[in-house]
Amino acid sequence: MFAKDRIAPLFYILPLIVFFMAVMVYPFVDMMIHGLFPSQEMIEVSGASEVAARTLGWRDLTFGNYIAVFTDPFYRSSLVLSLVLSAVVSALSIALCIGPAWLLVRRDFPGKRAFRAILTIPMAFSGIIIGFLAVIMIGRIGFIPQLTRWLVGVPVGEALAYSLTGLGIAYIWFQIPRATLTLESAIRKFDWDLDSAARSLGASNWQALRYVLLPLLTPAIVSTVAVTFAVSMGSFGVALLLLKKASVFPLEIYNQIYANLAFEMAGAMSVVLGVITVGINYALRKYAERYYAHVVARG
Amino acid sequence: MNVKQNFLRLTGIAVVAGAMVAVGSSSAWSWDAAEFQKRIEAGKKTEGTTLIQYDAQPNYANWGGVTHFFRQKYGVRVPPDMKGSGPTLAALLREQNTTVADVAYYNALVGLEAGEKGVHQAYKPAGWEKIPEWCKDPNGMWFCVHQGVIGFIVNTDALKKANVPVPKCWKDIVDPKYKGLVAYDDPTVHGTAMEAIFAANLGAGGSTKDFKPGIEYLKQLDKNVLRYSRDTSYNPTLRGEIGIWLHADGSGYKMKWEDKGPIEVVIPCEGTVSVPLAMGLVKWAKRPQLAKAYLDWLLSPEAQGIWADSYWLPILTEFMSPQAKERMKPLHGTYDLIKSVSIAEKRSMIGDYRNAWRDQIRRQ
Repeated sequence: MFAKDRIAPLFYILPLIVFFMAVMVYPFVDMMIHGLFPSQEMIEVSGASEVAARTLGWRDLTFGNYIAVFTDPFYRSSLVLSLVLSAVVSALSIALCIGPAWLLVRRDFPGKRAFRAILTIPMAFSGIIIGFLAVIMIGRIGFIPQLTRWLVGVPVGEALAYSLTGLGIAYIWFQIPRATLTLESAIRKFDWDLDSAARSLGASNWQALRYVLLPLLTPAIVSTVAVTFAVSMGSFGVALLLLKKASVFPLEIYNQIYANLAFEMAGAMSVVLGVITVGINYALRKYAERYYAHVVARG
Repeated sequence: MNVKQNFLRLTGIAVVAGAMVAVGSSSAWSWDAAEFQKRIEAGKKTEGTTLIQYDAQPNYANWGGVTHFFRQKYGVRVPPDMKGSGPTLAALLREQNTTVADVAYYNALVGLEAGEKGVHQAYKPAGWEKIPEWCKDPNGMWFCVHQGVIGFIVNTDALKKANVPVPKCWKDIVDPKYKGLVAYDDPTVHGTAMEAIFAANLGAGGSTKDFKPGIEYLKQLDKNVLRYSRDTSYNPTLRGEIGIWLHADGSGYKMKWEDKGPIEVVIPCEGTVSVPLAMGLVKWAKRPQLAKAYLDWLLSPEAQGIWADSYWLPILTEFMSPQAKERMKPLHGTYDLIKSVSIAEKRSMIGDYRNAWRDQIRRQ
């Protein structure tokens, strides 16, 4: 009886564990080990290096690739760009989506279902499609510059797609559904009685927002940041089509594989990306939990 | 391109329309289809009906079309192989005598290295003496089969809308009026883009010993460049998002004749370089008879003609069909502007030049 209770749940999650081991743990460990071998840079025109001719052994192990991620100015700058971009995009997409999310929970309006459905469109698009849409809209001969040239004689947003601003806009666009849906489900869990209670005790709109709603919203916002940040960190299709010359970190990984065939470097970079993203995600969720516990305890 | 006189060779066997012999070459050669068919049949008996070529990407240089023709006509299959030049050499170095490859295809820069590293055996195919000196190894370790020519692929509609003329020279496109209209791919990613900045260096007065003029020129050009793509710029150029793409000519002719785009090719007036592509016979080839026949065939009017019809300048230009000659015609400039550059010299500077580009153009 006792043992059965303990073992039965194991069977429910066994398929997931096997799947998880196969698609996450094994490749991650494999990448981690690959990253410990010297990079065999084999750029098309320069041909293969000497290393390629022999099989590598344990004596070749090195942390060189992992160190290079932080010391080489190219890897470092793309990592910094990814971190900053993901943070800014998360903040802006939350600012943009918190209103609609609140509306979806609290108000009924005609076309609400259609509104929610339309909001999820960007989720169905891959990064490459979103990048292409950005080029169509704000590229050199994009729709918006063409339209404004026709309307007011000056092209607005010409070639904007290839700037950091353009990249940010494209990222925000594909974060909209995630931000809205995550915020919506978090807001739905609110104890709205607290808001009513505050108001019946004479709190003004501002006071209710500052002392009741915002503290309650904070965990929702933090967990939404966790989701959008992680997705932004991993996205590379958009940047592949936009940006004049700067590069985001996942695009550098792609480059290592496709242009340089440096699987070792790509492995090390992927591990760094994974650890940073998971670490930040974990810290944010921990913070949200603590904060929530704190507010509830105090309230 | 010197004019070559043609003689019909009277062998009594079926005379192929394209059979020609270059005057002045010591060993007269012509394409003898019947004789070739016999060789293939003999090869098939002992070696089977499959031949392995490393780097045979169906969508690159129309290998799909070339190998399909070979299979249809001679019954020998050359399966697609998606390795690029670098991976091909790396694989041969690694596999040595266990390799399944019989022949290999490369950017000539890598082909040269493959020859030096000893993964090829010497073989001078029929037609060897007609290949220009700079495009073959004197011992027959590798030889060129076709080339792409660096030029401007111009979307004339895009330029018309921007009220600027079609440029003729490297020096034209640094003019501020071309701002945002120019693009070339990231040379640290694309081999062809590397050749494009190599051509720009020569156009700007540099040499194979000195790429400073090239870097200075590219810095100036940077103000006009829309982006350095790591993807391909084919579709953006066809759509007119890019007005002038510095790339190999073949993509431009394909856009013009297959996609019916408003596209023209310009060979810049200061001169350009070609991207030569080479073949080699693998040292450990398990099917040498078929491999040699196949390499001969790649220089035949048939294979050379297919390449010309898919807009790759064949190494034996005499085998271009009249239609291919008509279609592969630049709006400005001619193929006489191709500078013959030693492949070894080109290779010796390319690594440093690429790093200089990365540090001084992309990093800014």
